[in-house]
Amino acid sequence: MRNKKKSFNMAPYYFIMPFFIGYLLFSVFPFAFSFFISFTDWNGVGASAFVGLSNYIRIFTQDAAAQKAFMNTFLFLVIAIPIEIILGLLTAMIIKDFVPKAKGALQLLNFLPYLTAPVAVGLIFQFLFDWDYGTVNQILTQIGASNNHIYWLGTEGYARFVVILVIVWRMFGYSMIILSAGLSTISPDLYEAAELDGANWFQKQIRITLPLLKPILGFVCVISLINGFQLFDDPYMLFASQAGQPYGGPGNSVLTVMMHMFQASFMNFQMGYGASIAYTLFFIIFILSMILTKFMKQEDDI
Amino acid sequence: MKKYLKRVAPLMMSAVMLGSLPATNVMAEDGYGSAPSGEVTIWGWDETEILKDHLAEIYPDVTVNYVTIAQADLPKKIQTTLASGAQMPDIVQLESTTRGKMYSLDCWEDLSGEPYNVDKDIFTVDQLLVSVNEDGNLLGLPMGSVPSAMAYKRSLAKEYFGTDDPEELSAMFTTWEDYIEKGQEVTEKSNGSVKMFAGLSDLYNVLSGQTIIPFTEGDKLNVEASLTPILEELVKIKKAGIVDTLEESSPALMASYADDTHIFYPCAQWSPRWILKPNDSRDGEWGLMELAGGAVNWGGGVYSIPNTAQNKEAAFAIIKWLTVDPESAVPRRDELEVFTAIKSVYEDPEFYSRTDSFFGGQDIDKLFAYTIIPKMDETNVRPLNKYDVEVKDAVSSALKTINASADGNVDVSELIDQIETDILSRCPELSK
Repeated sequence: MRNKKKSFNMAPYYFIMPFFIGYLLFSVFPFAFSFFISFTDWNGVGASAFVGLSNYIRIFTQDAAAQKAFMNTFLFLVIAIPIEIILGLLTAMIIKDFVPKAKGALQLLNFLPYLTAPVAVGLIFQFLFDWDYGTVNQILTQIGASNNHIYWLGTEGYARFVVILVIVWRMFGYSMIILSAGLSTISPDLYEAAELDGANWFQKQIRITLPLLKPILGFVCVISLINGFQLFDDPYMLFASQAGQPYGGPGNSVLTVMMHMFQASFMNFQMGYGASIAYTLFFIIFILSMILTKFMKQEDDI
Repeated sequence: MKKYLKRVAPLMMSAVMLGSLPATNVMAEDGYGSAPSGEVTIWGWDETEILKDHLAEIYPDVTVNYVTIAQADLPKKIQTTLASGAQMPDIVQLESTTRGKMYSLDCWEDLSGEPYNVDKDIFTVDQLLVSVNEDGNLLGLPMGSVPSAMAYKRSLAKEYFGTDDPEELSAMFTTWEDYIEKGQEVTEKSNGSVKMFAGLSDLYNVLSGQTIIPFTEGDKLNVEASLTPILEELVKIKKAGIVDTLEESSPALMASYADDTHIFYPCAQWSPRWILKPNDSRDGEWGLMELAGGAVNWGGGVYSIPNTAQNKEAAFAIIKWLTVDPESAVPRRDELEVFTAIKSVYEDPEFYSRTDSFFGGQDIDKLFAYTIIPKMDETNVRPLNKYDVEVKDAVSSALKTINASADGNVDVSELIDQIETDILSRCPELSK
């Protein structure tokens, strides 16, 4: 009788083992470990003490800077994301319909800010918005738009404005590239048919482009939301890269959740508290992403 | 055999792939019980690397591996290394602002205790005070004394005060009130185009070094008592219209050293080499005089040995030469243009003497070493505080508020409230 029992082949498991060992060590373990330390008081050096939920309670009841960081982050999200998506969409539409021959060059041009190192972006905007010698103030006074130099990086409202400007400038090119890819999947026949029916450019975008682009727009929204919540580089480089500048901008006006987490963990040596901020943010992103995805799905079903 | 190979080969390949990942630390040989030898890793920001050749001559069996790390990044690097359990270096340079917090981590050797037994009294008082922790343990050996003075542009001083002589100017400006009074005259004469100072931040650095009221007392925040007089003085200076709005370390501030519209700049012993000369090429334009309000210690570093260092004996031998051996004062003076913190070196009244054409032939080393350093003691050197970083951050924000007000009409008590709120939200273990 022929033995049908197959021997168990370990070879594939050996081949994939390095990846899984790396994944366990560098993804799963830090994820679980940081969740564990979020319930402890630990400076990263000595012994840790279990403190239950007190780190999480501190975020919402004691830490005014944390509350401001959440508020700032929401503010940046609410203002910057719609602008960057609308700008990205408009740019993608205009390039596709009006300057298709220069498509590659224009896409690259608009995408370049996204590729620029945040350190360089921070320094460039520091120079542009310097109170005394900044280019923006020089232009504003020369054209007579302002009599006095504006203290862009020294007053709360203006500092927030500059950060929003940096976010939009850096990110709209990314939205444009994703949306351009989406636009290329829409059949030109639909536009031709609409043209035969007498639709103008604006009507074609409203009736054809937007409905068909909805899944891509949903994706861009979710990615922008996640990136927005993790905002760190731009405000950090604008302020913390220069000695003597307040870490979160004037009056913590540009302090974001990630910056506060970094400050708690690596400047104040409160690793447990920093982890609790990170996990609070994680839960918020998780819940909002779920809601957004569900909302988009419901729209699709309708 | 074929079957065996089939099973073993993937395992071996996996092992090879794992081995190709970045290697972790390789244990160095212990140097205890023998003459200093082996490899010593130093984390720091500048000067020790320049002295590497001297170290190689003195300790030929020690290989110094110098890793340059920016001052601002060192605390994060140390903390993440400790948290991850990775190998700490043998020597770490710690700068003044973050040193109080770094000392609060229980990870440094007490160099005044066994087996090092460094005699604290060999150091100048100003540096000893900022090298010990709250319990008086010497957790780092001071790299050098860092006295401060006031630099000024000679041409502007002559134009507005009738003299550019440092002694005459020192006598003219003995208090901050003198600066305000004379500054208003300068404003009148120049129609407001010339300011006494370029920015508030350096003035804060000096003023905060002239008072020793601690920022905290136990777990109580004490910034109202310690910062109110400083901020009041700054607001007074702002109200008088004698200070410009240039921010700390900004390109605008650096450019101002070469202009003809700002007269005075607080100047640490390291400033001529690192700030003044790189930003102004005019020979003989600068002068140096004593600060109003007393001598100030500004900056400075220490060498510390982590308690998990692998080669503590060689590490100690190196930092001992760099900070305790008077011989090291010579290359520090000649090659690095910095002072030592070894008290006995200052007994030779000619050891620090260097006329500098940049300062119009003035002997600035003599002024720093023999006029200012002796005036620095327990009464005017601020000890380290665990919360120095938080205070500096919160004050930076307050300085922005003062800067932003055109006429200086700022309520200091509101600034103090804001500073307290900032610090308390970062440090819940403190209370008002």
